Amino acid sequence: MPETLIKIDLTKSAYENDMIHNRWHPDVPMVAKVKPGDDFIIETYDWTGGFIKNNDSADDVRDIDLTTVHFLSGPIEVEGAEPGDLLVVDLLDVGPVKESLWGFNGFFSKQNGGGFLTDHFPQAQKSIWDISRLYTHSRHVPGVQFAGLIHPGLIGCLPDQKLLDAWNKREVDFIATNPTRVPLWRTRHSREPPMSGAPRATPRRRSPARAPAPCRRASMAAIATSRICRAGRRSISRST
Amino acid sequence: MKGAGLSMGDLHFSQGDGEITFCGAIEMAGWLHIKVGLIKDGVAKYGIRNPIFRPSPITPNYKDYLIFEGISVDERGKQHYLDVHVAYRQACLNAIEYLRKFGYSGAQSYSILGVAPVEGHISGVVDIPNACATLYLPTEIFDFDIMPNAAGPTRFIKGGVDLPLSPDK
Repeated sequence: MPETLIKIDLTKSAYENDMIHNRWHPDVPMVAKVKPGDDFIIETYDWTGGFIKNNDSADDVRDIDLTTVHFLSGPIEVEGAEPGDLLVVDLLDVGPVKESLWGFNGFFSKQNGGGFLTDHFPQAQKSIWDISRLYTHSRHVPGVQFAGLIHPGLIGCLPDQKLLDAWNKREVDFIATNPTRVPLWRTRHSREPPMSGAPRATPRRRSPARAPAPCRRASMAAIATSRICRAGRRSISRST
Repeated sequence: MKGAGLSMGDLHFSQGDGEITFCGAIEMAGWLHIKVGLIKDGVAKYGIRNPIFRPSPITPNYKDYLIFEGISVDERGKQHYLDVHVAYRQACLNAIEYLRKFGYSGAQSYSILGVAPVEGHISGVVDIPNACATLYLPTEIFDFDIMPNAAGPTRFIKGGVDLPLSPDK
């Protein structure tokens, strides 16, 4: 059995887990070390660290503090990796926590995050999707079920200070062109002591590195020492 | 940076292209079994600016789609120049309006586009000033036939259930 390098406990707060962080910053301390060729298991919270619950109210989607996300597992040191190298990541397998076979989808209020169609759906709403092996269906959306294509919405490497500075300048300049835009461009990357270990309440900055396609979600420039992310079993090609 | 600092999370059970609902796909807690390797100086050797990917050998096997098109003319009829964001929004809105004819609420339709294995394509950036974006909705995920026919759509979804909504405070 491969070793599980990062474990989570859904009965406890993600804030108590010192192998979780929520910012891409070079000062976040490494929590594990591996060598090229190693394979291992990483457990992850959902991106809100368990804030969204399996119930029939969208209050949690309305009230969430979006400056706390995303809750990520890591960072992991890869021995010998240097800027300019490509990190090759094979996703050999991926799945849900056995004791938690459900997921959520929602729309943020236009007053708290918004979204792609926020002018048409301006209020917080939520749907819960039950997971049954490869398939999912929802008590909130009848008449539809489908097979999933499980994948990490985020996977990446920490930036060095130079790259972080470039992101911050680029994004701060951009925010200045339309500071009140919705969906909100809330904040920038942390110049301050980063979220190391457990996520903290403040200060918070938006985390940038959303993986595209297989590791879906864009803005890969964010991922510092570029890398290949190979999608393995049930982790896709096309793509949060 | 030195040592890479590999981190991951935000697992999705399934997601439509674009993750248009923002909160997001089918978001879940989970685990990954991964293997890491290193290509020294690979960024320069392969001319990499952004990550590159391989597809999984195991994917949902939907083959039939109903394809909705959008062009870069927004909801108010304003023309935009090759704006694929505007075009994809129109494709999504067109699909939502279509699904409503079968009894779904707008929110249910939006949710389906966010979470089902829906594909988004940039189909044309050549016919100035219109970008063309398309949304591929798999027909086989529904319990009923969503294809158009001469008799018109049937309201298979009878209502009575919808996404919970929490008004702003």
